[in-house]
Amino acid sequence: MAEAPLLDVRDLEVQFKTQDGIVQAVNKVNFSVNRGETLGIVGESGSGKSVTSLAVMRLIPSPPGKIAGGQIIFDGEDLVDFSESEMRKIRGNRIAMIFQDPMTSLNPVLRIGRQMTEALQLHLNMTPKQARNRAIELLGMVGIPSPDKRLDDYPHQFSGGMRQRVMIAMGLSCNPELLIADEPTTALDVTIQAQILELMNRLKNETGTAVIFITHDLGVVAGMADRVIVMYAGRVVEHASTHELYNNPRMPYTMGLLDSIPRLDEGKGERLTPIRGLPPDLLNLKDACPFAPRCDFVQDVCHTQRPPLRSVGTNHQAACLFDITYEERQTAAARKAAEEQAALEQTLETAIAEEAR
Amino acid sequence: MTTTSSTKVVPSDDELELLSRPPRSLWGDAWRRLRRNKLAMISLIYLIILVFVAIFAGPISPQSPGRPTGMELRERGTFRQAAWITDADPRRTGDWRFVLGTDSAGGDIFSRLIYGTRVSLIVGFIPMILTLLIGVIVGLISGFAGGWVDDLLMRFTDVVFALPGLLFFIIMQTAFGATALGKAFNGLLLLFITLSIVSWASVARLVRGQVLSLKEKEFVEAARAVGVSRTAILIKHILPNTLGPIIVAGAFIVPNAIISEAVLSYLGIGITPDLSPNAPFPTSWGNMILLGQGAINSQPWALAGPAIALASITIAFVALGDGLRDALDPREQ
Amino acid sequence: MFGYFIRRVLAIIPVLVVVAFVTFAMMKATKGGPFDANEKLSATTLKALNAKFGLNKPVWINTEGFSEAKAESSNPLHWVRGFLDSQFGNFAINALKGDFGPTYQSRGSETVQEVIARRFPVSLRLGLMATIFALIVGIPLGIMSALRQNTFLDYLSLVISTIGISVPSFVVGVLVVLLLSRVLNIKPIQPPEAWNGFGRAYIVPGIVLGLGTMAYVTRLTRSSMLEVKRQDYVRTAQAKGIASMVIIGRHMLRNALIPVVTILGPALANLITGSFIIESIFRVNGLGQEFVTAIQVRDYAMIMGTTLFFAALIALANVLVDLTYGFLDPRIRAKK
Repeated sequence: MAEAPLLDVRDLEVQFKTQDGIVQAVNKVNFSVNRGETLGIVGESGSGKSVTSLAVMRLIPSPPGKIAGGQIIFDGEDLVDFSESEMRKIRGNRIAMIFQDPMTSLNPVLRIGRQMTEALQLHLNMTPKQARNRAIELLGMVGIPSPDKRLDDYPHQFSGGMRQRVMIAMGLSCNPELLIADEPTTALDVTIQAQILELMNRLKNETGTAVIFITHDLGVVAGMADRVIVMYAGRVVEHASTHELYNNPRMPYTMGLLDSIPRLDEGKGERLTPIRGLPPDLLNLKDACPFAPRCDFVQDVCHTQRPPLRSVGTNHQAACLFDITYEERQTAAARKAAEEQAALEQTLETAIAEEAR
Repeated sequence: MTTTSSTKVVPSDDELELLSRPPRSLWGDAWRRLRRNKLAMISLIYLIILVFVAIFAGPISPQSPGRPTGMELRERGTFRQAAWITDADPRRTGDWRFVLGTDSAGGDIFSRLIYGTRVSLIVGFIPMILTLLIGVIVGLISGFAGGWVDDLLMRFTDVVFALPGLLFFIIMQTAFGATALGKAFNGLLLLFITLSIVSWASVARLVRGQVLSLKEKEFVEAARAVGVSRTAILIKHILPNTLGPIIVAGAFIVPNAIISEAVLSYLGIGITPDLSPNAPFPTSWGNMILLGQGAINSQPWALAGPAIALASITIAFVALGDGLRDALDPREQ
Repeated sequence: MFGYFIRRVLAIIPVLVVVAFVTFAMMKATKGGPFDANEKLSATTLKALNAKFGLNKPVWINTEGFSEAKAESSNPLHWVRGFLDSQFGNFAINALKGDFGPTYQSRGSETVQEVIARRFPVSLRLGLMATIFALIVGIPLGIMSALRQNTFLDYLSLVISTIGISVPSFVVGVLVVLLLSRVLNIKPIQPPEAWNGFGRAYIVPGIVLGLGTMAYVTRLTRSSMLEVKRQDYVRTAQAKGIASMVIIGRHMLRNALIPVVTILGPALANLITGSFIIESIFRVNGLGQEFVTAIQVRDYAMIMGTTLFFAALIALANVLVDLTYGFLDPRIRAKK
């Protein structure tokens, strides 16, 4: 990496105060994004991925939340030290964000045009007329038909997919260097999802904007991201290029995620295996592997030591004490499935035998 | 925000060690939240004290609340000032036997205030129970039956809902005040009916809405699937789930009824003052305010006393109602 | 939108019919006529008065016109005619024309609608004063306490609004009169001519009357602002880098004030119709005071006329609110 990264997050910690105690939502998280690059952040609900992105925007609702430590270095400057007014010049201008639910992310009582032009007038000092023309141009760019008319509509007159297009147009309006997309397709139908992903891929290449793409769906991130980080219980547990992560996952959690999505390149009859159990309670994390209670390869040491993020290959890090490979996991899973099958057959046979007698 | 809510631990054999917090029941949780609300707890304690004051008004009152006889009257005097006030006229100087002084007829204001608690509490509670009873029954039937029954009941409810409450109360009281009904129990019976006759409509609407949404819930489907009868579903599954909003609504009906009674008595069409010495409900605070207003210059405490008593009881009920609403509806948090 | 408005206005009619019917029925349920209590009246005068007010007619159906023959009475037209010539029929038809008949107090020299026309402007001004006070104090207080949630300011406004919402205005009224006259030595009661214009005289009674509404507006604004604060679109606006004052003004207020607007109509109606006690405490010679007097002397014509007038006012206010609601919220506007 010759050029300094556009965004460099170091040891980021975010805490929330709740009535039951302090929740460590993000715990010593490190990652970076280069200019023009797309980084995928993958994890379950509550893994801290959305909180991480809000922390980058300095939009953690405070109270009860706060950035408890670490640095967020954007283009050489630490955003954690920025004042609120300095931060406002960054938001929407140099870093933009798209949210999960397009149905609620637009203000219901303001026209689309008004919501699109306000950032343009604010950050690019455009006159209302200029801003309006630019908004029409942007709406056309994201594929909304007759944009000059739709500008005077209210959000409820748009479908979910159309609203997300509006959100994307709004996000890109000031030509940001970084666009954070927080689960932009989760709330949409599958066909619409594909359209939006395609649109984002096209615009990303056209504008050269760096993107942080947050999702819980490894399948979605595959076609979008250059690199992927996997988060679990507020920590980064694996970090690799997209290709490497899919072909050689090294953390049992990532493997579990991969096994729980349907894949077209696998043979027929392959079973989808969900990860058993639930994510840990972030209120009282012990010094142990947070994934241990759900892991198939768990050993005693996993309950007493927290595995650090260690290098397991070129540009590949994973937080597991053991060198478990995907093949081993598949073999283990196959063996387990065979055992289960055998047990089932055994039961059946016994039952039939009982019946016969 | 995705912080703790999505990471709740469900106990399973190997995960029990993670369960460090005790599980909470819905009502236990609500009670815990209510207990943390200082204003609501102070109000609750104050109201409990008032209930005792109302029940034991006789032994607590320093004087008889009724009109004094000739001998007593000479001792008490009329328009005697509150105990800590000295008046140029020695017969009107404060006396600690008559803490808040006496009124135009020599009635001991403090003792009358104590007896007035009875009226306020009873006109708060009985109409509340009647209102909830009518409202819940109409709402349950309307929401559960649907069809023309629902239509009919709701049209009727809409009309009742649109009636201007206080005006309607006044008409009721003026019309029936002089009849046998209006004279029964110092006019209390009529007041109960009057105060219950309009406000049930909002309860019925509330309950109906709850029932309509609960009817679609999975647990009701499940109960229906295993063959539970309609009545049992209504009483065992739906009613308990509407209790929260009903309790909150009830808590706000009480102060409204108390205020309405006071307004009506202040207009002279509420409770009929009972002059007999052993009357259980000799007067109400609204009535005392009406009388006190006439004595505003000679004996201010005849007015200030009942006004403060009325204000504090309604504040307590509203604060308790607020607390209950916050405790039973965690969305507010 | 227009069709909706018409539908809503038409929905008022059944309410008014019920109000008229019930009020009338209840007034008739009381024993004796309005002039019976007055012992000075001779039997002839009484009879003449009753005839003048149509009180000699049957209450619901006037069978006088029916002939002896049975066939006649089965003719529905007769029943209709009989109904229209009854006390209630006369009352209903005249009320429809805006004529509530002469007041009993004036012995027929002044009609109810004349009294309303003379006295209502005063009540209207008082109600407006109270509404203005409730809004200019309540809305900012609610916004401030929502933005500074769980601070001293928030608790202070919570205490003020809890007191304001729970203590009935007539209690505040008598306490204010007590305070002004005893402690501050200010004469709280204004002379009758003070109420003719929209002057200073309205300030104190207006504030006292508006206190409850002010508290309600404060609470509603606060809870609605807190709700809006959590909305995704506010986060979107923040992510655009909009200054917080602009977010409050442009994005939050309009959403947050929708529920406040919905209570405005009923609030104004309540303030106008509920002012009668404040009017009698402060001797404001509005319609409310007239209404209180009518209750005391049991002037049924006046009571019924004012009640109907007030009921229509409240119902109309509710319709207007629904329209404003649609105007403020484009989603609702689309549905109608």
